[in-house]
Amino acid sequence: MSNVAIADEILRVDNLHTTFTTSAGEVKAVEGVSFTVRRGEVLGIAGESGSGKSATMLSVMGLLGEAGLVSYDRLDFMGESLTPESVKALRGDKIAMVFQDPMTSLNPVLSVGYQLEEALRRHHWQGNIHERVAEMMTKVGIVPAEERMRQYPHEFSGGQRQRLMIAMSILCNPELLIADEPTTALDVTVQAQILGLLREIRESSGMSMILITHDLGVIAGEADRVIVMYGGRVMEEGTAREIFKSPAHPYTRGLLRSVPKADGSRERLIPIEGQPPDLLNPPEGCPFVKRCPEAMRICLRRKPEASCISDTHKFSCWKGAM
Amino acid sequence: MVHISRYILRRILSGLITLFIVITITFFMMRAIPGGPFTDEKAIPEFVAAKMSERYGLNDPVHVQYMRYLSGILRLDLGPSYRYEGMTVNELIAGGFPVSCAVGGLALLFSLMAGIPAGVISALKRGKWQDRLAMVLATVGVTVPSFVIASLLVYVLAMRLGWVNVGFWDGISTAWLPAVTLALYPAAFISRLVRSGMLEVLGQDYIRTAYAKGLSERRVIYIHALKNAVIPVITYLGPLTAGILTGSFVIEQVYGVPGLGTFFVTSISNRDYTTIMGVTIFYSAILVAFNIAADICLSFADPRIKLR
Amino acid sequence: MYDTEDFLPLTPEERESSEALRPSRTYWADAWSRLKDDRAAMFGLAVILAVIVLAVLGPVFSRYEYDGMDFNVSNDPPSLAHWFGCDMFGRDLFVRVMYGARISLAVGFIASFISLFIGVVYGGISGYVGGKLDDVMMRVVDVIYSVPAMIYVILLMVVVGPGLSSIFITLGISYWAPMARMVRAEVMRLKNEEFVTSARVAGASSARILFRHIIPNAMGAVIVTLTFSVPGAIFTEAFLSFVGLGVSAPMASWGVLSSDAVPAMAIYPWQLFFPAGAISITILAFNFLGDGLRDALDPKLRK
Repeated sequence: MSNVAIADEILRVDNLHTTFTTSAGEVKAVEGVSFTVRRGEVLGIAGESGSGKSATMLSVMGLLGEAGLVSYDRLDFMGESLTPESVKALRGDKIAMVFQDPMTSLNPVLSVGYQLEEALRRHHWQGNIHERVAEMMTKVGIVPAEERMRQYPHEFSGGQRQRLMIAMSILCNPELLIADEPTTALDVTVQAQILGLLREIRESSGMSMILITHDLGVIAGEADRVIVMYGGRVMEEGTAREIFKSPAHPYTRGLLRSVPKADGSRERLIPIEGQPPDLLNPPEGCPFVKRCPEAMRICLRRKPEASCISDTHKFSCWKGAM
Repeated sequence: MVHISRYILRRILSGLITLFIVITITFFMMRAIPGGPFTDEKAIPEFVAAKMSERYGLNDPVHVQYMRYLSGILRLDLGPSYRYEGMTVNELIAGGFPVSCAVGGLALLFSLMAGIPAGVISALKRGKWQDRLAMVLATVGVTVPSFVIASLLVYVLAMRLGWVNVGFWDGISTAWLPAVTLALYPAAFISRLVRSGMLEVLGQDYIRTAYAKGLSERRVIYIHALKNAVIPVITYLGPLTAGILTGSFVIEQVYGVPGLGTFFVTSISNRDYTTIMGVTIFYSAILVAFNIAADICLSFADPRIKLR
Repeated sequence: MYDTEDFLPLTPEERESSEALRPSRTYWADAWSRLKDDRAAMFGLAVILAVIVLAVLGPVFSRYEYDGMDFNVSNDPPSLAHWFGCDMFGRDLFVRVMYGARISLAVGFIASFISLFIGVVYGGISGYVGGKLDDVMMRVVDVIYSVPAMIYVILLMVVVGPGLSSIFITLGISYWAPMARMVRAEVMRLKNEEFVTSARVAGASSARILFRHIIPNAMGAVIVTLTFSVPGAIFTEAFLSFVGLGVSAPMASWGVLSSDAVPAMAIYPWQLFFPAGAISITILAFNFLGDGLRDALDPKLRK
């Protein structure tokens, strides 16, 4: 893991709210999420599907379109406040994204070379665009690059397509890479390769990364700090060591129990019972109350506030208020 | 390029087989009509009818007639017309087709030029007035029978306002109104096709990727989305051509256009069997050719499709 | 600040009461509830039902006969006595339009059901058996596709001669190819599903599996296709009437009524307006209903 001590902020998000208006009513996908990412650091965002982790990042990137209403107190990238306009120029340049499903993330009717060159052209790359694309494709292991640039996405395997997505994201030397479930749709062996590739790129370029995943195993191996989200809220936040060695929130503990241990111990996996909350009719109190084995009466009625365990470790639970 | 020419060759071959089947079925269907082509005409004395049957070889055994017809077609000869004295079906087609081709070609062009932009605009302005207007027009286009629209246009534009002249043929200047009328249904259909295609494509992951690259909205819509959304339109080119061919039967009649459609309808009421057969085969050949062309276009538009 | 009571663990009852109820419904009930919320589709359904009621009961309760001529009122414009006016023989157009609805709807439904039957059996067998047979059967469909269906219809009409039953048969045997393709695709999708395997394990015959287990599950798509083929048949019949191959006088479909009115349209526009309007509104209604049904029955949207 890289050094956390160099504390210059790349991204700062304060009190982010995202609401979707659907025909069935308003869905509060993100409620009051705050976090920072420092230079060279890997921030892991963990949570089940529907926990708001992807919606958080799409909101930051301004990629939600008209359906999502986004508000925040502060949204800074490298010390400058982000506006819908400025984020457009940064997307694909200083901030890049890799998405979950490589099978559907590339345009099927355009050649991959075209799709990669397009990003460089958009950001006025100084230098030979064609050579840069070939260089990056070679870097992610798609060879012979010259030949494969002329091919179309359907001629690549899932792992290769994710490599292409990664090549596309790092073309312009981004400061921050947001990887949204980058390995979920891939085979286990390919997963390890992709994570290794991302680590290699990070180490050589010093870029920061936000790694969004439901897979705590992936987070444990890659992240410096971790945010655990549930029902659109941050449940717990801390360094990777704090989260994995001394989880404070019942939800985090539940998540950890449901994941196979890397050390090979043969403990029985305990799934968290029940369903994630219905965001159309969110519970009045803590979103996790219905599934929480330690739920109390107040949890039904009021939302808990964050309690600090250390400078870096916070969790939102009434247990902390006791 | 080798595999494309081989593909075209194979498609032409299978198209010829299709045409052979069509010719055979058409021939025997025409022969299955009770009585000969001249029997139910009271105006013709019996000995004249017999003589005509003799002249057209209708007294030979059916398989002899069939072989004769087939060998005629191999020489691109569709035989004599039973009704237009001294005219061959080839001459009728040569007279009517250029006119129909002008009207139909214009209609094809109009329907694409109106349908695609309308579909894109209504998808982008989903739920706004532009969308509603386009979809109301599209709904009218697919629900009102073409002969009704044609008659209304003739009534309003020609008879009431006197803006256009109808009922005679004077080249392209008289072709555009029939062409517009003929284009209404396909334009409406295409706009619905493009609208739903665009809406589906705009929700795809690769569109999000394109935005994540920082591309402008214009570029995302016109390069990334539209290229995918027009694929169904190319698939629709075959049925579109068929629709314009058959639509012309009615439209040409209403506007008094002396095209192949008019000849076909007249030959139906005249029971001019050789003309019916000839035009059917000719239309089928055009359609087969268009289907091959459409499939080749499709393979260029969609790299996932392999020409086999 | 807080009551100590607040920090007591939840009892099972408290936990239970906080669970939201999720009603579970069958596929068809679910589809119906979605369809009910679709205003355009419900409008379409209401119009179709109204047209059916008028077609069945209208002529019975009318003062006029559809073929009753009265030359005193030839070409009369719409009035209180004759709501839609009269035609050149003085026949009441309102009753003729209602009577025309019978014929047009009969053509639409019967022709569609014939093509549905052929298409379901053909596509079902082709998709279920697969292999060589499927290749051959689909090749036949390709050939049919390569000739405009309208040309077949016209050829067949020329051969069998005009008349109502010729129209039923002709349209029925000309328009089954799209249905066959659709059913084949559905059958191929469904035939590897678990419920089919379990039926096979239980020893059901192929025909039983196909028609008892697979086809009912493809019914959603079949119904949607049917909703679009009914107006298609009505349209085609109108077209045939226009080229002189429709039903013969004194019977009159909407198509015959409209095409008869075209020559005199400049003088008696209402004679065209009412039957053409009836066709358009009915086809519009079927389109609305079909769009709504497609959305309501689409398994892709089903959660």
